[in-house]
Amino acid sequence: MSAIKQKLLIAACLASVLCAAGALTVSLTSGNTGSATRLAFVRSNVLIYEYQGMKDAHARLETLSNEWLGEIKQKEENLKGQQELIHKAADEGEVPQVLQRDAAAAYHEIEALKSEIAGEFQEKEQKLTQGALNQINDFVQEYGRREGYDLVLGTSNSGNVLYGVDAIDITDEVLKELNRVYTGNN
Amino acid sequence: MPMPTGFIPGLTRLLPLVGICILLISCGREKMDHAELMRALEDPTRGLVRERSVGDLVLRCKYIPPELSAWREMRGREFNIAEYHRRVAEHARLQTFALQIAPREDKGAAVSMRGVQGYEEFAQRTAELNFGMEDRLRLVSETCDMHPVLASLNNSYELNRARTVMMVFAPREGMEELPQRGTVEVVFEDDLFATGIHRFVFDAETLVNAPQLAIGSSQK
Repeated sequence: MSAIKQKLLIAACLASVLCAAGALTVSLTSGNTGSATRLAFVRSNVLIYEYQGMKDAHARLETLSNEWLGEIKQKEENLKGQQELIHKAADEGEVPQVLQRDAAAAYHEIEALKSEIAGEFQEKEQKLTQGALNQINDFVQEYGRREGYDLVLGTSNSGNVLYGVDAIDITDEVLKELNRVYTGNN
Repeated sequence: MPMPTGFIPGLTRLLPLVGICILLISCGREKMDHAELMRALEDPTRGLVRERSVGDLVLRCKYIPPELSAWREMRGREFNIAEYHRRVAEHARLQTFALQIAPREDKGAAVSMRGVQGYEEFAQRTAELNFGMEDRLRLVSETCDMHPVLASLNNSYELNRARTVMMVFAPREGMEELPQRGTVEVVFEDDLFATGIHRFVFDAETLVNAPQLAIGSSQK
């Protein structure tokens, strides 16, 4: 390789390194101050679904859901037993009124419980999920301030950020720090 | 039956050393007066308090050493040292933490009123803070995952905006003691103020070696 080619190659390498570094600080010139504005973006979905606080919330909801479904199942099993007794009594002749009354009451109780549980679960899900989102939002604000960013954008399915170079994608570092703080690994 | 003669002289020589070791271990915990201890418990560098902020709320989980719990129980009564030591021994089998939920800035509505619209919601919030915290709190370590045996809301008589819940964890049946090594996490599942799930992670040995109350100056 000639000396000129070697120099060109080195220059090209230097230029690419400088471009990458330059991309970290996007130079949008502010009208008043003329200072460079630091921009970055995070991939919101990654941040949300890989955040340990959100994973814990989902795990907790799953546990609750299993507990509650187990409770309903137990009551349904009991009802099934009552219904079998009714069928047996019907086969033998007359069904005692008390059996019918108890089975009807059990059925209504199960239906009421299902409705109550569905409402409670929805409320719990909304609050725990919202809580995890609040934690993320707070953390990103604090992180942005601490790291000197002027603006941190979030990609979302509605397409508010359609493209960004990897150099200003801070998702991984934010996620790492977010999970570190959450799990107390100081 | 006589002891082997060669064994006894060796053991006799070791006894003072064993005694000194026991003395050192029991005295290893720093002694402080009440004011110093309160400051130490609030000092984040000592690892006895953990804090999280979400929105306009700050959640602070603080370890309460057995001596402080015993001292608080005896406050306002005639001090009896034997009774105090009995209570300390009882509390030493437990782990007590205080969870304070406070507004980030000391203004606006009290925590118990946040987001509450109307009396019914206020009554529900009060009931949940008073009687529903056990289910929302857990102590998690490598060897256990348990709810507190007691979680009670400190009565603030509406004098300040923060609310503090005291929680006490006790060894379960079959467990000799609560974790003494590794990490201990106090988990708060907050669906009351929508701040999410919080893990307050402590080092078990730091808790075991937390400063203790120098009772001589504090019982007065």
